[in-house]
Amino acid sequence: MFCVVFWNIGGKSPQSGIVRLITALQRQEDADVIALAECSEGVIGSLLRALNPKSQTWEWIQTQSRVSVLVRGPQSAITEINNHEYYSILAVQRPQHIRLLIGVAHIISRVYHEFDDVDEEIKALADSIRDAEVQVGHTNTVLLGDLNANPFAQGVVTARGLHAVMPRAVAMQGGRQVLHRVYSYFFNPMWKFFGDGTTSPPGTCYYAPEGSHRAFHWNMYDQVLIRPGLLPYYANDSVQIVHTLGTNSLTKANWIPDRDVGSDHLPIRIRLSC
Amino acid sequence: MPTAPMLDLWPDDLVGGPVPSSPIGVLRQQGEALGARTHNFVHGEVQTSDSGDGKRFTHFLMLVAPFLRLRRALLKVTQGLEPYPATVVETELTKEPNQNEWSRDVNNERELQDCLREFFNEPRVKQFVRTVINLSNDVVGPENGNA
Repeated sequence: MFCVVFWNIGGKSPQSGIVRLITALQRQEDADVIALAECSEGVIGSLLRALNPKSQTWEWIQTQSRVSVLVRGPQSAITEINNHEYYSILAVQRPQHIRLLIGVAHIISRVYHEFDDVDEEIKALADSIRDAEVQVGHTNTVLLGDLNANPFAQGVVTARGLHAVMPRAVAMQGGRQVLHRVYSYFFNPMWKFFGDGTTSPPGTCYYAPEGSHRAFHWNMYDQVLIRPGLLPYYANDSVQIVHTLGTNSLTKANWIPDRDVGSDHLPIRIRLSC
Repeated sequence: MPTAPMLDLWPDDLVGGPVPSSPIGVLRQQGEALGARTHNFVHGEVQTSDSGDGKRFTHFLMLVAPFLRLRRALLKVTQGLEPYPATVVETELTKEPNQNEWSRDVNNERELQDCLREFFNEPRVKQFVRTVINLSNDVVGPENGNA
C-alpha cells in the first residue's frame, strides 16, 4: 500500500496542537507522504521531532512551492521535477514498485481572486502535470491538494484543465479528443462525497454564505484526482475525507470543520495498492 | 492499466552476490546516522559523479540542513572501478588556510570507517556541524524542545 495525506492546516502554530493531530493522522492512515498547505517551518520542525522520536525515518522535502512535503523513507526516492509557487510535482521511485507522479497543490484563494483566476491557475497546473508525464514517460499520476475550486469548476472539468470526470468507467477510457487534440482524463472520486446522507462530511470546508446569491455552503476544495493508469490499484474506499483522528473529532455539529480543534479544512487521503 | 512483463536482457549475475560495503554505502550510512541524531534537521546525502571515462567515481558527502537551505560538500571520496582502494579528502568547507587538505588513503571498509571517525572528530569539523545543528534548531522555538 502507498498512502498520501493532504491537509490545509490553516496556518496553525506549532503550539496549537496541530502537530499532535498531524502525527495522529499519519499513524491512523499509515501515510507514506504528508503534504501540508498553510504550514510554517515551525510546524515542520516540530513534526520532524514527533515523527522521528529516536531514529531517522521522516524527511522534509524542500519543495519550491508553498506546499510542504514530508516523506517516510529515503528522500532520494522522491524528487521534485516540476513546480510553481502553487504546486509541486514529485517523481516517486521505490524499489520493486511502479513509478509514480504525485502532484500536490494549493491554488490561489477565492477570497482574494475571481473564479476565472482560479480556473486559469488550475489549467496551468494541468499543463505542468502533462509536461511532467512526458518527462518521466508514464502517467501513473495522482494529484492532491486544495484547489480552491469544486469538482464542477471550469478548471477541474474542462479538457484543457484537469479533465477530471465523475464516472470511473469514463476515466478508464483514458482520454478524449477535443478539436484535434487528445486530453487524458483524471478520475475524480470526490463527487461521491457530495450530498446528504453520506457517511462522511459532504465537503472538506464549509463557508457560511453571508448574503451571496450563489452559495454552496459546503465546498470540496480539497480533492484527490487519479489518472486511469492507477485505477487498477484503486478501491472504493481508497479516498477518504478524514473527520476523526482516534477519539478526536475534527468537526463540530453537522460535520462542520472545527477550527478550534484542527483546521477550517478537513484532511484527505488516498491509499493505492501499489 | 497493467502492462506486459518487461523484457530484461541484462546478465543474471549483474547484481547480487557478496559485495563489501562500498564507500557510497558507508557514506550514506553516516549521513543517515547524523539525521537520526538530529530528527533529520541535519543529515548527509551522497552525490556521485564519474570521471567521464567511466574509470573513476567521486562521492561527495553532502551536509544538508533543509531549514537553512544549506547543502554543502563536507567530504570527497574517490574510487576506481573497484570500491577500494579509495582516497578521502576534505573540501574547502573545512580546509584550514595555508595548510594542505586533510587526506587519507583507505584499502577497505574498516579503514574507511576509521578514517571517517577521525575526520568527524576533527575540532573544525565538529564545530561546523554543531553550528549547523544549532542554527537549524533555532527554526523551532525552545518551548518545543531541541533536536
